[in-house]
Amino acid sequence: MNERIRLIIADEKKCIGCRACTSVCPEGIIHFSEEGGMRNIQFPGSCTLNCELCALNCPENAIMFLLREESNIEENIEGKLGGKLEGEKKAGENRVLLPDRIISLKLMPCRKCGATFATLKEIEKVRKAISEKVPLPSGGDFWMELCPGCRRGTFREKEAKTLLMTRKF
Amino acid sequence: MPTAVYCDLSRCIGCRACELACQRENKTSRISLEVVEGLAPVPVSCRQCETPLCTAPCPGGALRYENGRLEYDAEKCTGCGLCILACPFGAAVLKGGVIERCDFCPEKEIPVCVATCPTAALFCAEAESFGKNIRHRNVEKMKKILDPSIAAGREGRR
Amino acid sequence: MEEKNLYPTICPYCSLGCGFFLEVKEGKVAGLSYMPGHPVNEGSLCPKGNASTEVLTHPDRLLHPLLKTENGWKEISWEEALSLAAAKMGSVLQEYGPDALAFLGSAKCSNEENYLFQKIARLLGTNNVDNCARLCHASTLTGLGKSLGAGAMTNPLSDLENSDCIFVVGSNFAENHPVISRWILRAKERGAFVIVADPRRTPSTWLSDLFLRLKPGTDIALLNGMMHVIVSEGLLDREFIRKRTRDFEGFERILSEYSPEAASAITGVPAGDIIKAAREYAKADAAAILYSMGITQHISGTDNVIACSDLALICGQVGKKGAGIFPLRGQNNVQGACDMGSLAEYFPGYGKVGDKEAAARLKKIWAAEKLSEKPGLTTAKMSEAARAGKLKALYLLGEDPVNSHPDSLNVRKALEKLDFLVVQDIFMTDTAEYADLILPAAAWAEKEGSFTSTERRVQWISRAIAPPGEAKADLDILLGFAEKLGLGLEYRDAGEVLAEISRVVPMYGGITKERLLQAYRVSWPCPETGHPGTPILHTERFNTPDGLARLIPVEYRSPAESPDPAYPFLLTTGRTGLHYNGGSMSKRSSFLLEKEPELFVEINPSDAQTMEIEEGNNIILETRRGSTQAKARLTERVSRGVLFMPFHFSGTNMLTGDALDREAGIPEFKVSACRVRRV
Repeated sequence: MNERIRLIIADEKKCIGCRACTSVCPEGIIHFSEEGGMRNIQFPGSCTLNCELCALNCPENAIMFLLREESNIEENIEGKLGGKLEGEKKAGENRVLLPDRIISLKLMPCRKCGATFATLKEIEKVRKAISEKVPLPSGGDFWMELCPGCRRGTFREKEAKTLLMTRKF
Repeated sequence: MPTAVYCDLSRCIGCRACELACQRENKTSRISLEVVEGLAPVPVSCRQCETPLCTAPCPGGALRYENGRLEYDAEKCTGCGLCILACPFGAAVLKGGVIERCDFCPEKEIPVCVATCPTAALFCAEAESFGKNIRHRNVEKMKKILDPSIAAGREGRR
Repeated sequence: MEEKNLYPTICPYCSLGCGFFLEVKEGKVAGLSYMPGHPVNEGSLCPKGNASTEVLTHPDRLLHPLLKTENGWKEISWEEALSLAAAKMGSVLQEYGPDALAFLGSAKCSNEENYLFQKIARLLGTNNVDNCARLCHASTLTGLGKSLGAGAMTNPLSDLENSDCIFVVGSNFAENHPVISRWILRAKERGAFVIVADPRRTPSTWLSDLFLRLKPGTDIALLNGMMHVIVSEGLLDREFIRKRTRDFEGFERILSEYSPEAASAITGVPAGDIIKAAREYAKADAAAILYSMGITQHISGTDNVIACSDLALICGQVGKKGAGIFPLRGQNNVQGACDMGSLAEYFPGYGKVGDKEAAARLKKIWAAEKLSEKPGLTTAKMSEAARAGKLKALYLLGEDPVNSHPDSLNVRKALEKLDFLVVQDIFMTDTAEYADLILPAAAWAEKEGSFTSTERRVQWISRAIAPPGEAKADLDILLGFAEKLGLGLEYRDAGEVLAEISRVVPMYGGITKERLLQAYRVSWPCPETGHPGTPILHTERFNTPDGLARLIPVEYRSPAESPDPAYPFLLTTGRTGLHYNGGSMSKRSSFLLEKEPELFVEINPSDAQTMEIEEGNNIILETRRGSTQAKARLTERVSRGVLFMPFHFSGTNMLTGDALDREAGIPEFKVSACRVRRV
């Protein structure tokens, strides 16, 4: 068989859980689920598509691909991940198959409504990016602890207050 | 200064024509209306900030401040949604892997929400002039309250 | 790639008659563009108008004539369908006489279609023809008819910007006629004082300078109370009363019983507010009264309307710029349907059935041998007669009585009892399910004809696209039906029908298709060719024989039902901004349905707390007519003891009763005694 099977390796340390990979994968083989306050992104060990869209779109460059036929693949993988690999070596074949990996990230609940809306790492990254662009006083980015819906809601409540003061009825 | 869609809340009747018109022209509505406590309607849409925070975390440069306005290139968008987390107003949503935020209807003469608003509550203004307009209107309102002769100006026939 | 073509059209929903463009590409509607040049909406459009194109492309559209068989609906050809309809109606006519037939017209169909419809009915020998105005502004026709000689809006909508005081009573215009808010706000920018009288706090009250929160059904007490103040403080326009009205002395006497304190006791509105409202209205240079269902849909509907007219007359606020009486009508062509005589007691042009002269004129133009002199059955009476077995066959055009008429249980019984029911519509409504024969009709953009808005503005709509499947324009269907009946009605197109209308209906004398296409719109009366139309009525004289308006005293009467220990709540029904009447069109818009998905009941939070009802609970409502379930919405929009439900979703009219206004025959939708409990 001539298909080139690519091993997907997602770096748990870099991943912020933004789900860009899940939305950009043309076959939808990268999934995510949320439960118990955690967001779980599930990567298949390998894929036969030729696109590498997930890697290209990952804001943290946390995904990389290796061709299965590469030699010293185990060292390569371990080297890149900086740790021991939990892979399988099929007896009699000089190939490595990776199991599906799940990266779990803690979600942040909205301070107002309690619904989870982003991972802590996402929030951290965005806060950092904003502070580099616009210096804010500490606590000045209070909206980061609210989900987008509650941000709109808070904005609305402020506007509503002013409106109701000027209105007669 | 960038032009944005603003709403004179004293004129808004909460009819949602803006939402429907926007939804008809795009994949999803970029303006969102809710009536606070059933009494005060407030639409929310992209404020076209001059220092947009949403561009800060954008990894692919899809969202940029260029030519004096916020520009969005869907081709470069990775669908990471970090811009949505950056916006203090919650003014954007992710739909179908692209960001849906008010882009001011570039192919129309005036944005459809402004065109359709039955009470002309929505209007386009440059942020700076808006401040002036509002100040001007508030002054007029205060004048009327403080000067009884204006209110009594509608004398009867007798 | 084919260019997009823009077709001007008028919105099919309410009666403001807003204009916009349909974008047509390759014979299909591809979108919607705004029309900044239209004098009523100036390019704006409410949410329903924005969603109107969804109706045209909806997969539920009826595409073929359908016959009801034991095995369900069977598609049949037009030939078969029309022959069957004619044969069945014809045999009922033979066996039981013309009054066993009835024709329920559509206030959404064009003037030409309505004219043709009632002509067919009358040529067959019956005056059993009516339209949904009976449920809506029938009391305007009777009330303003008696008072001013004409039951129609006296000034154009845009004229509101010239008012110095706008008194809105029984109308939630911000939700039901949103575009009119534009003109009211223009008036406010000039300093106008806006008064809104409504039992509910609505988006319309948000725009008010004075909100009179009266108890449902107490409008006469409020209006008489205001008039008492106006007379006792000498704020009336004596000159106007002397020159333009009659019967003031007889009228004045009744006002003594309605001091502000007495009125306050009945209405629940503080006496000080009644006095303030009266003074603002009377002192204004130009004052307007806007009213709608809150005034008309009562057993005292006619009297309520007369009270509004009395108020305007004693202050001289009729017949000039910015001053007038504005009944806000409902349907896009209800004004036209009434003008065309789709009514049981009026011929086209409002000659009364039974009036020998009017009948003679009509007989001559129609070359008819005889016309029945007996006023026909109104919609409520049609339902009664069907249940009693006296009405055997009904031809129903574009209406959904199961959902929009009161007392749904009885409406269903009536439809079941009929020997033969033909329903001509664009969708399979709940009413259509009862039909023996269904005829698929074209929607507004798929046919041509003239439509008359609430401000008496006649506008022509040209066909933009073809109807889907085998659906046909109502006009063509009716002509086919008439042909099978051998009635000899030969019109080539809607323009020819309009030409006859201009000979029959005096107000349309100068209105032709060509004129409408050129000028784009005309306000009636336009009695002869070249007449510019009449934006403001009653400027010199009223439409009465002596040219004087009548001041008619009316007394407050309580509604047919009041809360009692068995049914302690007062249920009032109405509309919301996102849906339209029975909802057959608006609920098929995914946009509109998403934002307003289901039946709800507004209940005051204190009442909810007492009954342990929480937001979103399903609750059961019961009246003496029936029961239904709805989701509870806790809100201060309604006062304690009052409930509100929209009738866009099936169920509300299971609860309403058919207590009728004696003269107008309009049901009291606005007041029912009700009880609630949790599921």
